[in-house]
Amino acid sequence: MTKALPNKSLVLYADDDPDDLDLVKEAFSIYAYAVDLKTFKDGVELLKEVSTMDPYSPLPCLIILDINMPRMNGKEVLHRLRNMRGYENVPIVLFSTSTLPSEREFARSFGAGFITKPLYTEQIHLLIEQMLDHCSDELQERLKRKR
Amino acid sequence: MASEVKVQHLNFAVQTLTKAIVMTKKVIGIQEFKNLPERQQLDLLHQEGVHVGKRMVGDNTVILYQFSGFYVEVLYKSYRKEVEKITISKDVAIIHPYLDQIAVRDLDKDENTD
Repeated sequence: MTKALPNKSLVLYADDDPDDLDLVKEAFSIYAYAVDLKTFKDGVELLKEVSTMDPYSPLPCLIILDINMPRMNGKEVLHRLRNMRGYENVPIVLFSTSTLPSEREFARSFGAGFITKPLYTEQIHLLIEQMLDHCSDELQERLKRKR
Repeated sequence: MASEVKVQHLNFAVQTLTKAIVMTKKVIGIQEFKNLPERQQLDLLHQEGVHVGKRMVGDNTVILYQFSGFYVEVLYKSYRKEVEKITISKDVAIIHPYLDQIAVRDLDKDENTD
C-alpha cells in the first residue's frame, strides 16, 4: 500500500525558553495551512525525533535551533545533524539572542542560516519570513499564492 | 565565603562584558543612544547588542543588553512584542540580577571548549 505524502511542510524547532517557543508558535500559526511546526524543549529531543522518523517520510523543510540550550547546545546539534544521512542539505537556522559575528560564521561553515531573536512585533514577522525563505521553492510558491 | 564567590562572579562577568564591548563595531555614546527614537534603539540592540540575560519582574519580562559601553534594559508589556520601558545605564550594578545566568552560561562554554 502506498502512503500519501503529507500536504504540509514540516518545520522542527528546539528552544529551552518556553516564551520563545510560544512566540514562534504564534508567529507560525498564520502559515498553519502549509506548515506543520513541531517544537522541542532542547536539541537532544529534536535529535531523538529526527533519528526515529520514518525514513520514507519527507525530510523537514526547515530546522530552527536555539544556541544556548541545556544538555546540548544548538551548535552541537547542528554539527550532528549535518553528519546524519539525508540531513547534509536540509535548511537549518540558528535562532539566537547572540549578535556575534563568530556565531554567524559558525552557522555559515555548516551551511546554516543565522537569525537573531526579535525585539518587537514587526521584527518577528520579518524574521519568520526570512526563515521560510530557506524552505523549498514549492512551499514559498504556496505561501505567495495565499498572501 | 558566599560574598567572595559573588565578587568573583561579578569580576568574571565584567571581564566577559568588556570583551563584548570591544567587539561591538559602532561606537555610539550613551547620550546619543538616549536621544534616538525607541524603534531605532531596538533595531540597534537587535543588530549589535550583546544579550546579557532575562528575568521576570512580576508578570513582565525584562531583557538586559550590553551595547557600546553601557547597558540597556528592556521591560516588555508583551514578551518580545510590546515594550513598556527602556532603561539605559552605565552603572554595572544593573547586571546584578543577571549574574547567575552569566556565570552558568560561561561555565557551559568552558565545558564545551574542552
